[in-house]
Amino acid sequence: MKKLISLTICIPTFNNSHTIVSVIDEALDVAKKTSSTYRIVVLNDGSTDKTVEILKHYKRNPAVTILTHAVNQGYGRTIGELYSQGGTSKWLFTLPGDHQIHPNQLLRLVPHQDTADMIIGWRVKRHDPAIRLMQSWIYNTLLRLFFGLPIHDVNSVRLMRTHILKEIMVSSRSAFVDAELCIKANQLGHRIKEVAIDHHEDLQKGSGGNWKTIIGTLNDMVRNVGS
Amino acid sequence: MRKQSVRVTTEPQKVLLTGGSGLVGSRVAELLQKKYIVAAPGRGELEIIKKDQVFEYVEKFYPDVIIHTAAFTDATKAEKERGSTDRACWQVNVVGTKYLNEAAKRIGAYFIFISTGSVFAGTKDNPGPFTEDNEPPKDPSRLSWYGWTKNRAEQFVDGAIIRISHPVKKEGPGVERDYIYNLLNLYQKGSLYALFTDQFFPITWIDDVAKTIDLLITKRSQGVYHVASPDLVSPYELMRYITSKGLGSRPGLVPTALSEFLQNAKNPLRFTQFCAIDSRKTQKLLRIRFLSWKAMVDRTRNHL
Repeated sequence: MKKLISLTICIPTFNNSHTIVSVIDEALDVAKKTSSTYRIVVLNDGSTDKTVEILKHYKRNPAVTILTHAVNQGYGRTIGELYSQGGTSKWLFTLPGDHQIHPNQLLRLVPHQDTADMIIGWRVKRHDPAIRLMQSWIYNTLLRLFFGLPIHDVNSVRLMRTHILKEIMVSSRSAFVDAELCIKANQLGHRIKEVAIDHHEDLQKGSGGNWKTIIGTLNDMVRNVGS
Repeated sequence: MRKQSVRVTTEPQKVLLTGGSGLVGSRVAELLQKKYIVAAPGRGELEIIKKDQVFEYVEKFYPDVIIHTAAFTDATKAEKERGSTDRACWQVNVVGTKYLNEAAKRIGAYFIFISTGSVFAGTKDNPGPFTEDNEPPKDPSRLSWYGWTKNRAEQFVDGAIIRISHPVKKEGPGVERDYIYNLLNLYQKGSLYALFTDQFFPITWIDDVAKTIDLLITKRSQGVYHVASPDLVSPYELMRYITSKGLGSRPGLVPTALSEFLQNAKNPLRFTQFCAIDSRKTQKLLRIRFLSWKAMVDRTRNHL
């Protein structure tokens, strides 16, 4: 496989103390395999469990940068902030801290580096509760109807060229940020591709299902339809 | 933001299929190629009983799905290897499956294993047909050696198991080993001797296997599935129907009882009287209908 020139892996985490070590270690492992130079940025979104202490172990690892929100800000703000952490890397890869998506799934995306600018991992079979699947289906259907966005799984992992993120100003502060990024990237003529990936059992409950997240996302969605 | 259709390319999934030159694998590969990127390496490119080769191939191609159809299927030869775990039948069927399952797990690929009704051995009191939920026996005493190796291989599968029974297809590689073709061949050579009247099983249309695999790939379902005609047939009845389809009458379709035949057979375990599988649950779950055995015979007329 042709390696990437340089890569930043961004990991948002909120109360993932049981999984975060394996996610970071495996991310380091797969980064080594797929890119000539690499770094990892972890953004702790105000975790209230042992995440803070665990992340201290990585202080001496020059390849790992730890950022912290003192108070929980939610998925949208956290991922939005991480999108600006690409630094000088040519490529940026986002990865959840809960290990639902194994870091090695990056290997499925890298082969498309020459034919796409943004490569989204499509969780073909999601091992999530029915209610989550239903919400996700409604959300992705709304995106298709209102924005012509034909993506199966928009809030999944993605590998993208960092320069896209420098051209685009994302205004959403909710989970809509991922969709906004796709829509704007397409308007600028960037090539988007989705590739099947593997998804594990949900070990910990994500925030996708709660009302705060849903209302925030709908709010950003309506704002974008209007503009 | 103006509404404008967003262009997104959905990349076809990659499928690694073992046994691509075999009776089942060749047809499945041909049908899946329309929708997936299929690699079907021959034995020269990938030897499944060599762990290093399996892992190297899998990590290089990085498939989304691995379909394992390669198998040692010659039940008569297998019987001569009974009890030996270092000979070909056990190595290919059990060890090869174990390696492929491990490799699939490592890269997060979905694993589909093609198995057989021969993992079952019923009795007169419990003759089957056996459903997806029936547990196959846990000791080899009444199974053929072939059936026992497939039975053990199933234990290693984390993914989907598709059991089939006497696979047949219209044409293509390996068709000479398909059940209808083989019966006809022997008949035409005049060497078809005994046709059992008391052994009942379904037969499997290989195109139905490919359809089932396609549905399973979409669903990524785990567990056991049976693909076979909804109706059972005995070899005698099957041959009578085949010959009624236009072959000139030849003397000597000799009805024989398997139960009598077995009393004098040298390797009685090679023939399993009760190993029919029932595919109703799979058809219901996947909302699919499998061909009846007569419909299969009708579609294989070019064998005649």
